[in-house]
Amino acid sequence: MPGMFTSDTKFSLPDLTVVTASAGSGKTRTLTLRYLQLLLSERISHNDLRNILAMTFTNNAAAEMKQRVIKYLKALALGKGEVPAEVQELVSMQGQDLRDRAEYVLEMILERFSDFQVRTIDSFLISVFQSTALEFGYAQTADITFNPDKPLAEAFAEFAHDADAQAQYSDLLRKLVSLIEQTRFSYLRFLWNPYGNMLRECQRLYRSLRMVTKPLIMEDKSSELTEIAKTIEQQGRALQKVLDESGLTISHNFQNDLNEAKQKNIEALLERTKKNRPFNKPSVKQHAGFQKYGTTIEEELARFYGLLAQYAEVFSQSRFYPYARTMELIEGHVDEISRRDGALLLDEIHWKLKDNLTRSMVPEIYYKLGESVHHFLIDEFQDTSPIQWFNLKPLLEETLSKDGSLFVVGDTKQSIYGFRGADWTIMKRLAQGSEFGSVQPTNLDLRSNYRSLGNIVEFNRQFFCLTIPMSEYAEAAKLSDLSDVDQRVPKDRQNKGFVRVHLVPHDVEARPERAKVMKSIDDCLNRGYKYHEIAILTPENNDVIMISSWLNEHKPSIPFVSHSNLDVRRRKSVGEVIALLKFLDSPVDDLSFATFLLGKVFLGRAGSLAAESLRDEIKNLLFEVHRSERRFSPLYRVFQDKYKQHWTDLFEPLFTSVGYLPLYDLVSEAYKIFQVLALFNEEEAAHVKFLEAVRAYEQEGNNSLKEFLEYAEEKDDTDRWTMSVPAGTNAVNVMTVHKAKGLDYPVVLVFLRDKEPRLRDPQMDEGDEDVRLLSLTEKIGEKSESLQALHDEKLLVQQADALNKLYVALTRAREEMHIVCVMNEERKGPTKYLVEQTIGKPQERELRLGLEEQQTLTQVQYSGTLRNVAVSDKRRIALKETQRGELIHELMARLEFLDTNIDRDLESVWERVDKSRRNSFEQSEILMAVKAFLVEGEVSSFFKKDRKKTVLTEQEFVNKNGELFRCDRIVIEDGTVTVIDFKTGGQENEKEYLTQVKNYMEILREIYPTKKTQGFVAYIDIKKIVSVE
Amino acid sequence: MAKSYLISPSVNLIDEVLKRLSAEGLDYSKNLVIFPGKRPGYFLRKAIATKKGTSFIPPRELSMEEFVELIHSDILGHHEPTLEALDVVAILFEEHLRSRDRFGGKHFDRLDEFVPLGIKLFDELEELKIAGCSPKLVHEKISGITYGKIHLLPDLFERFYREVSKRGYITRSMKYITASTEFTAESLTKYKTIIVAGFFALMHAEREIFRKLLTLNQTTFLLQHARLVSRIVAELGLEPEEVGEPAEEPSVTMYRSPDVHGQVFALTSQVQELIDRKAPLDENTVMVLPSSDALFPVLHQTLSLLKENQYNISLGYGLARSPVYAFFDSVLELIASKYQGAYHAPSYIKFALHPYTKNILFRKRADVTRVLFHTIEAEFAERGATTFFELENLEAQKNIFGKVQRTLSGSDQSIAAIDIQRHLKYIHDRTIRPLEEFRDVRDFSEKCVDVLNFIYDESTARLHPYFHPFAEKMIESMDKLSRGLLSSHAFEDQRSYVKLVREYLSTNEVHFAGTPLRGIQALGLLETRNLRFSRVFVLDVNEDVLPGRTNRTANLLPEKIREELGLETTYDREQLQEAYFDTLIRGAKEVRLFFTENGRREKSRFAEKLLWERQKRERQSEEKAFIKTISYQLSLKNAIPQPVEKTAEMREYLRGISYTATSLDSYLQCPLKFYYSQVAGLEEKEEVTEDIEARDIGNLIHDILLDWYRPTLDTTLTGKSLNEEELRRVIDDNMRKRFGEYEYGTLTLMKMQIEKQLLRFLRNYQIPLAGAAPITVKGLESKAEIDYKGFMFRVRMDRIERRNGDTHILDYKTGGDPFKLKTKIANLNVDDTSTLASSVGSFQLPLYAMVYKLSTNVPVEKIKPAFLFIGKSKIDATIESPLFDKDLPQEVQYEKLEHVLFKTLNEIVDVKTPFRATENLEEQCPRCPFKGICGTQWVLGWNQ
Repeated sequence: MPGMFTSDTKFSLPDLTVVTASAGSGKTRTLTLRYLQLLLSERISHNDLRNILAMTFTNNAAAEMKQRVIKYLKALALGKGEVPAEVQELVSMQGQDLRDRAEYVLEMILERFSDFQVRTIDSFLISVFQSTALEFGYAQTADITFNPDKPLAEAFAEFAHDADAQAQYSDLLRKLVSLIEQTRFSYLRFLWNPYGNMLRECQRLYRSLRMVTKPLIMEDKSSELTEIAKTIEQQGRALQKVLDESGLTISHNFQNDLNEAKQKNIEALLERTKKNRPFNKPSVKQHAGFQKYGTTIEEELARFYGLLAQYAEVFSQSRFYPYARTMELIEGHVDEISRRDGALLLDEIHWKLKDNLTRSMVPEIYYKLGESVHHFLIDEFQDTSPIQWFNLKPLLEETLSKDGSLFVVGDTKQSIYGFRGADWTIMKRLAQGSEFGSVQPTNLDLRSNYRSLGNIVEFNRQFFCLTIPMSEYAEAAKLSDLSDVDQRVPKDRQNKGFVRVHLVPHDVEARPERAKVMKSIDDCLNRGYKYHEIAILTPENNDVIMISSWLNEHKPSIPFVSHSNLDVRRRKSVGEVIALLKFLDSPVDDLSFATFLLGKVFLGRAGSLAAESLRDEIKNLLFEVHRSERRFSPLYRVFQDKYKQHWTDLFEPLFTSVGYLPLYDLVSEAYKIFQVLALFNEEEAAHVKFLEAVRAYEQEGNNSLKEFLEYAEEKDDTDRWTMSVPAGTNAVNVMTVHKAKGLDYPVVLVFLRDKEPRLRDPQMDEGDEDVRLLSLTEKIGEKSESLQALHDEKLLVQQADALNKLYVALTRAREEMHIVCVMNEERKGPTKYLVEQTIGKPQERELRLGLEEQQTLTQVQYSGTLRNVAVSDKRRIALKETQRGELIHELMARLEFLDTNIDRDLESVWERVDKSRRNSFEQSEILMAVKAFLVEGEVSSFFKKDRKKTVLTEQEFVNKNGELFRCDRIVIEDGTVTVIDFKTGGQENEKEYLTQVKNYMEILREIYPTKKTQGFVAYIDIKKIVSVE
Repeated sequence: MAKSYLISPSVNLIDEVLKRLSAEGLDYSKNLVIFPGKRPGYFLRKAIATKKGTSFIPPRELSMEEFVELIHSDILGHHEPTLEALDVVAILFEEHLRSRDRFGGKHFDRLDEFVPLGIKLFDELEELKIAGCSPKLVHEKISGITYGKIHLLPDLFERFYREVSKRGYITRSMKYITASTEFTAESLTKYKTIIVAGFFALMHAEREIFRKLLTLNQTTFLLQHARLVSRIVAELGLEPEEVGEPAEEPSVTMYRSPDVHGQVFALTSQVQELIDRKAPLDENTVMVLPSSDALFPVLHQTLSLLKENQYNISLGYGLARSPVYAFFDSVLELIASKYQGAYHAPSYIKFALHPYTKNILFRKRADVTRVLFHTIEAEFAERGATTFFELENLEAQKNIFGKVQRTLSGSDQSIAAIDIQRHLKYIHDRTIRPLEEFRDVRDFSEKCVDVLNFIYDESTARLHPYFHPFAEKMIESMDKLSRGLLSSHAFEDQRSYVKLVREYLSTNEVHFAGTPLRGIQALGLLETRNLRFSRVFVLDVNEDVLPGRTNRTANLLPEKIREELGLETTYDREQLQEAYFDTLIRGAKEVRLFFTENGRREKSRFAEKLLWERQKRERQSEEKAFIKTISYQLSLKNAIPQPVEKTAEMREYLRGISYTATSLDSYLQCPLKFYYSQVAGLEEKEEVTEDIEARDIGNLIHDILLDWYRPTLDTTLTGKSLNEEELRRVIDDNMRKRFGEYEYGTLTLMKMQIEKQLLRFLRNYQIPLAGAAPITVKGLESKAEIDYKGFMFRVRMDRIERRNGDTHILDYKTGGDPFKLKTKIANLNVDDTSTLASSVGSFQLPLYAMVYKLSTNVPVEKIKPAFLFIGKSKIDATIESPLFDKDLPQEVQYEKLEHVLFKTLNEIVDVKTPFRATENLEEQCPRCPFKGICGTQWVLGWNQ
């Protein structure tokens, strides 16, 4: 990469650089280097930490880049460790100067870490939104919801409720159902309950619509369609008439077309091919009827097809109108729900910014953010969505106009997130200079491949630069620059590496692909590769599942890491814990109880050495119960009788506390009782993750076992349940191509199937002002030239996406790539151009340690002790009594001595106390009680004014352990010190009160050793004092 | 003049305070000590107690908050009540509505929408007030901003505090400002010694108060060497004397973990190690929990190694995780679920099965209510779908009370069904009905308290230790709400009350029991201020925690303006936290820092700094040597279902049972499945769920068709009997019977579809078929049992009809896959059982044919069993899928099937053949209820 960048001595601003980084060319490294250049340079203006913003697509990537920046700076500052040589060329300082500068920059980052801005595009745009949220009518503290599915489900439910009440909406629902029936994939089965399908379709649509910048606007054109249908019917009759008059034999298919037209079944007609001609035989032209009517027939036919084209166009544009109307209604509900719950959808944030963010607001946004970004860096730029770009653009324009810079890195060839809204054409436009008129881009192309050995690079060059450009995918390949994928390989890597392509026929019974895949893996293992050096990639999730089961069944089984076996809910012993919780939640759930009893957790704990025989006993028990009268009784009761000790030791503590214990506490208790972590050491990662999931669930404010169990059944949110894989875990990785993006492995096995890219209805069509949903099936497309053009255009993008996915898959290998492709009979899709071949020779690999990186691993310890959480407990629900007691105590504390006018004294203290307490007690009741106590009770002598007496109220004392006590009233006289503790209510807790006063007396004895100590409990309500001996 | 000292982290602040106290014997009450918070006071008292070895009268130790209260109330004699945040929201809301130009346009004009904004506004107004800013100053400072509603702030600032004063209230900031302006130092001359200790940063009002204290000779300022302290020195014009030597570098070890539990388990190991080597487990050791994330894991996993008197926790127990809150949450969710006067069944069940509800006493017994609610649950589950119901309807369902009475009759004959019925109504009357309507916030909170009191009085909840403190706190919180200024406000939507209460209650905490001075201290970072510990464990040393999440955009006023107005900026806040952290670390001998590092979380900058300092010192660029990594054992092996051996007893049993189509098909699918369902007798419990499952729809369609064909039994189907209107009526009746009176989204749609499909069934299948040849309906849901070749069989056939002398046995399929259910007789190799599963789609039709043949003597060639695929998209004659291939002699086909059937049965009873798992895991396991036993949850099946 040397010479890739301009040295800071030649750096001129504004600067717009677009870096195309093909696979393996060091994308993140490039971005990091640019970031370092900006930071380290003393010549580039506005390069303070807070003026530079690097944006990535994932939190992972942001964290990785931050760590890389810090790592390089440390190495630079210390003059040792890994430092890219290019840094020296990027900044105009050397040696100690550079070291000092690196140290300064590093310490600045650590000091002002919040200004160290490497973050995701979304998180930056959220900040921008929050800085102006109030203007949009949202509190700045509103929570952000990233996954729109739940709020949308709620919005959809509200919409469906509305539909019950309003006829126009129920008609809309009906139309929606009909559309779903027509367009869904598995059309063979009737949809008894279409609610779920409708919801899913709306959720999918919502996500797509929120990625673009224009509103969905469609019109109901049903009356127009009816009109055209009428005309087609008339034209059909006219055509029929001419054909009949001609005496020619009309082809069967065309007659059917005409019949549909005459019955106004135009939608059915649209589904028929346009290739049906009126006459089958070529000799028809010699027929007398043709000679007479031929021209008229052609004219009528052209008119017929013209009308059909017109119908197709209107139909295509309006078919999905019910969706548009539904989305419009749902959006209203989404907004209402957001406001009600104080939680905003990320998609809505983008949308609101789009409507409100203008360049003129940018300085104010920066003002609010407390920073002004002068240098933007964006990673994986090809994955930017139109809405993200739309919202970033005003900020970027402002930056470029103020002599700032924009540096983007990406690769249109690796854009595979089209389904999530990524639009690589933005990168192309930016590179072509059509995005920012005033600043022209410098385009850099990173062509060196540092990842793959030469033969792998050569294979890809041949496939993508030579084969594909000669195929029907040539145009698609050109679109994302895939045909220009020529990469260089450093000399020492040339002619190295190994590629083998296997093609196998599609055979559902024999599945020959299995043998090929397993053989390839075995070969690699035999040549010394470790499991973790091998990855299997495939475009489809179903194939990930299938290959996982092959690995599982292989003898000896091959350890692998895939989405399926990292989800802790799919681990057997975690499943047993879940079964235990289900049983606790619903003790009549015999199946869950039996699942737990037959599992390793229970048997391991209860059976220790004799687990197997206990398992047999339990099985027998189930069998016996099933045959006996007790089958109607819950299983746990039977178990309770037969295994009393197990029940008492293991189940009863949980059984009696479920519902009374918070969720995490309950699960922790279960883990301890069954010693799960100690007994299932090998499943440690799974169980810790499960505990972590419980903790996180509770942390979010949830506190219901039932709901937790429902949540654990949900398919989504799998991140929460996915075990982390320790670095160096020796297992084969199996994943989809999407997951493999950005990763590489020494050996990659790519599993492919022939699959032709197709369009799926509806297609989104962006106009200048709005977006429409079009119906663009192949059949509809062929009815009109304009539709055909649109269809082809959309199909081309699909094809380009398919090629990109293939490119990503074929560029992950470092040393060896094995491709297994299942051929379909008709061989469709870009994979049909793969041919069986072998390039290079497989190498014996040195045997070495399995772990790439040795780490200091720390053993963890589990506590087996059960612990009930002790919280302070007053044992009574008596708020009013407590409040009254506190009020009376406060009154008493303010009475030093009593005057002759007790009423006046009491009223005076009441006023002060009442004012600050805002209490709701009756003055007369309280004062009357206090007065009665003071006047009638035996306590009055302690309130008599006497100069020799010192009275302390609410006096604090500390005992010899440092514990603080507050006494209600202390009266100190010459030879005596008296402590009086006031109590409201009755004498029920007298024992406790006496102990309390005794303790006070002991303290006083230590403090006033020369005085006699006496103590009293004074009951205000019953006007009684009790002396403490 | 006052004296001041700057104390090194190597010196204990508490000792320095103690040194400077004066006492008259055992009386320290002439000393006033002001710390920023309360906790150092405990340690000071402990230090005096240790020094004196006896009881004593303590110095007046106050936190800054208490000191201001002392000045405001005791010295200056002000006694106005202090407003809480929700009270303020009420006032601000009124002010908001009064303005023509409002924040957020009209978006905050409803109280529930305004609450979050109101709280935010209050926070910022208080900050402005306490910083001594005037509305005029704020106006001046923001005049440069050209956008938005920020300009409304000065006016609101002025109006709000005017209104608060007018109403005779006070806020915290008003208290501080009054204290700082009206207070004179002379009022404290009764104290011989005044020590201000351990402040790291000062607010304007604090500064003003301290400036006054500086005029007294008896005042001493003790500051700790930390970042920001120079600011205080400059602000107060101090010239402090240095105390103590610079601290020695503590031994710092860092632990990187993939998650919170890893940190906690590593901490547990450390504590275990201390216990093993009998190290003192006293208050010199602190576990710092800067966020609540690790609190409960630490409590359960780490502190459980210790006795309860060996540790002290300063953090609160969130009310939101208490069972009392969970109970309220369930009742409030139920209330919010109400739709057109009816309640959502799953929400009702959740409420009813909460232990507080299901243990409401009936004549001093708790089991009656439990049986009652479990019976209701079973009743709802049987309906098989979400449903809305009215309480009155439920209370009128006598069958439920009869069932409960029968269940209880074993234990008690004296309970009549009517008593149980009354009991249910009573529970509803005391829990749900009072909450159906409320006038305003007060009414709502009072009703909530009534419900809780009812639970206290009439359920077993109070017997549980987890009840009291939380119930008490809950009642206290609701009481505050009902007496606050918001109490008379009413919301438009009932859900808003629920939301308000949920949010409000979730901010409340209950304190853990414990003595602050005993044992290992588990503290938040703030609580460690001014304290020195020799052994320090800090968890969650992560960004977003240390320092806490800072969001520059969360404030109304931009950072720059805040800086100009003297308000705390995010940078100040971060520095302050760093000061606490630094002081804590540098004062210790041994430090263990734990953090989570994964794709979502990164280690704290504070840890990064310490790491860099060490790397610099040791000139080591690799950080691996300084960080220990916590890693778990990971097993990637998937469970393979183990076969179950048969016993002679099982054989006997299996010989004696009646075989049904379902049981035989389950063997076909997976012999292990057959074992668990037929031998072990296990079945899935039906739940009251949100979703209408395929099985529910199947049952519904069967019921509809049964009802619809019933009048045609033994008659020939005619145009009259095939009446569309009648079909609609039957659908309607059955929908109502199953789902209740209330139709809503899902049900409306489903009914629409059922009508559409069954009408198509009628028009495209049944009417044309009846028109082609006479059809006589001979049986509906016909049951038959036979004993044949040593086995018993039991069948129930959906419909039997006679056409052209043949008997057609029809089985309805609403969702089954025609391809999979099809029996490919031609492919069937009777000698090879391994082909069975792929060739025999189901034993259902062969079984029907056999039972019918044997029980009626109708020759097999006259029997035409068929599936009727009503769930196909296209309805026509092809939905009828006959068992027998018409191109082969039917008798031959039948013989083959019967042979295979008995071969299977003989395998079932063969002791030598264990029950094995299917070979087709992907097909069978994903939907199998027994996958938890087999451990095949990992088998995802296609399209997952």
